[in-house]
Amino acid sequence: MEATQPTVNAGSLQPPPSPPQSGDLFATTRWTVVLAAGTGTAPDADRALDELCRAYWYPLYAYVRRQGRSREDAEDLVQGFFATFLAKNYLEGLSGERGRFRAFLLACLKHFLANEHDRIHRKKRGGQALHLSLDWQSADTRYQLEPSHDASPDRAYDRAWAVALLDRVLGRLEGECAAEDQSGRIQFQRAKDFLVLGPEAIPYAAAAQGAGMTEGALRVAVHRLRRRYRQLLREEIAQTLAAAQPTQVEEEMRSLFAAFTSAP
Amino acid sequence: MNTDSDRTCPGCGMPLASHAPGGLCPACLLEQGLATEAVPGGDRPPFHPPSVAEVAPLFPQLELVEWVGKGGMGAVYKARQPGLDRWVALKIVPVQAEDGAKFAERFNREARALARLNHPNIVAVHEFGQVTHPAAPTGGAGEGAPGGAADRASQSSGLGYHYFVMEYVDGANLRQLVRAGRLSPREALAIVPQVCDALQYAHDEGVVHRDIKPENILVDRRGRVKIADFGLAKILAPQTSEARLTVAGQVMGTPHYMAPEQVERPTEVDHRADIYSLGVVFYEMLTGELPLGKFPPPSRKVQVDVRLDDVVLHALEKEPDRRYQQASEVKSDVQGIATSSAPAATPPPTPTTATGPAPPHPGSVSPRPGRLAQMPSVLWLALVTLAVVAVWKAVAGPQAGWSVLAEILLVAGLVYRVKVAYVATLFFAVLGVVVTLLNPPSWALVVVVVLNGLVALPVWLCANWFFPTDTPQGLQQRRLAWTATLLWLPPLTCLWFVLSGHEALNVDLDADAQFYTALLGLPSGTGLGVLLAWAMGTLAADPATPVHGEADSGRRTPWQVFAAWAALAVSLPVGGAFLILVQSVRRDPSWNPGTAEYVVTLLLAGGAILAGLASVALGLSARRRIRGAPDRWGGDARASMAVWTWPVLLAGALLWVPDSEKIRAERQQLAARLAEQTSRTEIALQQAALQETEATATAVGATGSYRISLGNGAVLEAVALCRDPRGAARWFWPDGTLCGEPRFEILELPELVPTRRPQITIVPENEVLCYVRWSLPAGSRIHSQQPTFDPPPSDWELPAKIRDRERNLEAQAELVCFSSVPHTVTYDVASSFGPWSPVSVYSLKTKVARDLVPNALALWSEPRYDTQAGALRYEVMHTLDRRAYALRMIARMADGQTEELVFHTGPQGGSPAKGYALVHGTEAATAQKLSQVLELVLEQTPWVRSQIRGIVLPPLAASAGSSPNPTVPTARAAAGLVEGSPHLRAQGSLARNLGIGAAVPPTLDSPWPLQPEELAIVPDGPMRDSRPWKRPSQP
Repeated sequence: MEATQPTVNAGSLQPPPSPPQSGDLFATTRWTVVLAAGTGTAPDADRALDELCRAYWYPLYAYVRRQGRSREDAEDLVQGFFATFLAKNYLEGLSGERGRFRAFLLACLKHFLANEHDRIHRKKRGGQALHLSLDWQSADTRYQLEPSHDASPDRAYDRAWAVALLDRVLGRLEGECAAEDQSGRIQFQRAKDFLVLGPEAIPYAAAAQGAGMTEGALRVAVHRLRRRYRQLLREEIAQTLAAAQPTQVEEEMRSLFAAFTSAP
Repeated sequence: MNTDSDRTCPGCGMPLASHAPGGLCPACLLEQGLATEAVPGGDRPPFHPPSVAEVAPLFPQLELVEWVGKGGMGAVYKARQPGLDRWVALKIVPVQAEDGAKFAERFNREARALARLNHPNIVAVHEFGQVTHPAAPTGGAGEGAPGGAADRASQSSGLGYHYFVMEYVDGANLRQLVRAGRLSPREALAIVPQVCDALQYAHDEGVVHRDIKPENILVDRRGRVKIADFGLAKILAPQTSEARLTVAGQVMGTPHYMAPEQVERPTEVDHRADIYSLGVVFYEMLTGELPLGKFPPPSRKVQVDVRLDDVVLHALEKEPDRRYQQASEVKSDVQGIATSSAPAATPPPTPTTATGPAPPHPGSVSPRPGRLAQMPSVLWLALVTLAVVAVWKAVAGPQAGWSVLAEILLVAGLVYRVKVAYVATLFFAVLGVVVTLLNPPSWALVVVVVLNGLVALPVWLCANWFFPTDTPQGLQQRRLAWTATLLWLPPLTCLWFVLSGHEALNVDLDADAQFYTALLGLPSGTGLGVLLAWAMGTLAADPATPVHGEADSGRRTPWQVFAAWAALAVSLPVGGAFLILVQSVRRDPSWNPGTAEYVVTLLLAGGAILAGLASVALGLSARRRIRGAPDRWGGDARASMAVWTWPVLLAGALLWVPDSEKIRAERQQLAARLAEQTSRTEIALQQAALQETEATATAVGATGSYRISLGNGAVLEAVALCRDPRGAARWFWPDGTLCGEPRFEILELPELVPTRRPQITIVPENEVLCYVRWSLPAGSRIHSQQPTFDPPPSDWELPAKIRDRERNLEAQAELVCFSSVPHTVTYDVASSFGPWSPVSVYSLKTKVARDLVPNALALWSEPRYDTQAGALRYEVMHTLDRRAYALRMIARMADGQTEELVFHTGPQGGSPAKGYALVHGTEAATAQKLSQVLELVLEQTPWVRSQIRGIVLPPLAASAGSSPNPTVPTARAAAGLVEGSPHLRAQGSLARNLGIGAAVPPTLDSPWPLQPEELAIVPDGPMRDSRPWKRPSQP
């Protein structure tokens, strides 16, 4: 019998498909990388920040639009904000918000908007700052098509953020399924509808017949998909956190969930 | 981007936004992302346990009986091994697709290690292996091979099971016990050491459980602890050492029992993680809650030993190095605490499936020190209260002290737990002292009752002070204490007022009012107080008192306790009413057997005795039934209190008995004194009669003088007499000479009442009108008795009104009727002129009489309304000589005025020593008047007796016959002689006296004036004075 030493490993979980770069768990989030880099320049910090911004620029636009500004103004403002933000001028301040990128980003935007008219005069559009090519057109269309809840800009921001997040997660999930199996993408398309249902509510019997699988096999497949979805979701959220404790991830998830359920 | 806005989410039914991630509702996605399916130890799909019929064919060597439960990862069945004739538990876990052959090999290796664990507190593993599901859709031929060595793995999911045949534990797991509320800290302390034993053994064998939680700790029916699923978490996990948690921190199952390092650094987990889990379980057993976040130590949540805090916190240290390093250390610490605080550790609870009563309050391992529970403070309070009682007793009288003491004795039993009742009594006593010292008017009763309500406020604060709030029973006690105080105080006020307060408050309360007020106040106060005390005692303590010898080990308080308290609750008010009645009627001397009150008193006494005996007997019986319970309030103390309440009260009543005896002695003394004084009065009166003439001041008129001058200037004068007032009405001077001038005129003559004394012959000629007059100096008053004549006339003397023309005034004359008119009479009258001197003063408020004259010995009676007379009657018995002294009674009012009462000195034929005055009026009016009377005063002033002797009553001239010539009065006419009057008998000497001799002897027809002395007139009737009539010398 092996392992007579007192130290016994606990093993229970699947590792993520993209193993983290470093061995330390908690330094692997992008946001942590950015924060760790501080104001100094580090290529991977830049890259991480870039990636974060690309993922979550629309919520900022939604926020600004929700404030009641016109399309052109919103475009200008968001562009200008990113110009400044990516220059990392903000990273010294607002230390209380550093734990969460979402909140940090919004705080920076608010701070920026408060001084906007100085900014507009000082920074020219498309100046020497980094230029993010963002799809303004689709952004506007998308904003127009969203159901007009009388949500506050903060609420709109959070919702948009959650949608962006889920988009990423589902995209990754689909990519994994496709990479695994030939029929993976099809299977994903079928099974993804079950992601919104509780385990009791899933009509296994009917779906199994439609898919040509045994119910047991379908159960297993759905279960694995859900499990993987949860893993990816948590991972994505964790990327925007400074310290990815399980409780913090849950907290962030709850906040995002609350953006949909609670009153604006 | 879809513009399809008709879509709704199948999960929540809300319309989908235009841009929905993957076409799915983001809210539901997040919600499902939050949900974690509790799949401990493995990332397996939720397992749906197959039925017994499905599983039984797989295990032909076992007789499956029933499905027992889901074991998290698999299912557990109860089975029987017929070969060995023992019960076993069969646990099956479905084989997963990813479980490869290596997995199976590792599984068997680990399982073998588990099977080697042999400890009384670890569920033993008899067998393990795999079986193949016979109805596998994709190949997988062959049956599952039972036994330990076969390890053929199946290819697809749902095709087989890993199985364990384990020891069957007939009992419940800790989760079920905690949820059913059948776990007290004492029992928790008995469980933990057994768990530690198991853990220590396993750790020594190199096995870590890694999944210690209440569901895995079983307790069998005999109270033995067994830990299940040892190491299975590791075995059934498909991964081994390099596995670690993702950054997402996904944890299987509820992480609450997992040590922090298990969550954060799963590669560095060792046996100390089990100790952490044990700490979590321990905390949950004690408090019922998980130690999440900043959690309070157990002693702050429930009543447990403070030392347990250290053990629990030490086990819950985040850093493994700071934790207990060995399970045996935990055990020794826990056992040390358990043995030092409780002499006998109770075994763990027997997990019956019966749903017990409401969860018992965690009993005390050692009593939590209350904020003011130190004995010296309680003693100090007791001393202060007794001192207050003593002061009040001295001030307000013995009854006040007893009533307060009785209250304290009654409440003494509540002191054990409900200190607020003690404080309430203290406040009550202080309030009573204050009220007594201030001596306010009677409306202060209302104030007192209101103040009692205000007392509730500080009592409220004291209840907060005494009872902690961080225990549920502390809150309950506090609420009950408030309720008890609010309900107890008004009846106590009533009781105090009845017993002694009305005196202190100067409110008159007669026996009836006392009786009924007490009857109203006592039951509500006493009964309520007693019942509430019992209720509080019940709820404050552990209601589950182990009763030995009962068939089912249900913990119940025997019915005798309830019955004893019911009897107590009945007996106390009844007994109290009896005492009140006795106290109130003892003041009334007219209370005697045969009255309704007497019967009621007997009934009350009988009822109280019976109920009191019943409470004592039932309490003793209850005590006998409850054995083994230490001095806990729950069963034994309540029974004890039911036993001891009446003996204590009777002991307190002994303080009262001397009072009653004293009062009885007082009564007897009073009666003896009264009898003595009555006889003394008679003696005094007899003596007075004998010494009448010497003892009294008598002014006697000189012979021949018809006026008496007294020292104070008053003059009594016999002025004139009238013979035949209804007829001829001849007036004479008191010396018998005719009053010639028409000086007197009769105005009013009283009517004769012939039927008044039928045997008396009213002879109008025998009537005499006597005009006797007082002349008083200015400003003096006279108080005269009825005059008397000697010889006494007939039975009636009536006043008549005449006019004295000379003095020009109206006067009163006495009309008397003689049966035979005497020659002379003596006029005797007693008068008093004041000043009045007080003899005895009786205060109506204090009911105390003061004798101011030695030997006066006045005995006053309480004023009472005489319905027959229709008057308020003041009565006094005295030893004063009525003949010597004039007596009068006056009433001194509250406003300083005095009112003279009509004083009657003794009824006719009654005791001359009894005097009374009547104040006529309705009962209410006289009561109102009486309320204004401060005191009654008996006063005396000496009589002055005046006698005029020798008043001549001249014979009456016959009316019949001719009247002589009025112008030339003849001697005959002058003499008023009537011809033929039988009264006239001329004597021989008459002629001589008339001057007959030398010349012509005078005859009756001689012209007047004749000298009357020359006539020898023989008076009519029998003569008292046989001296010849002589003309008195002219003044």
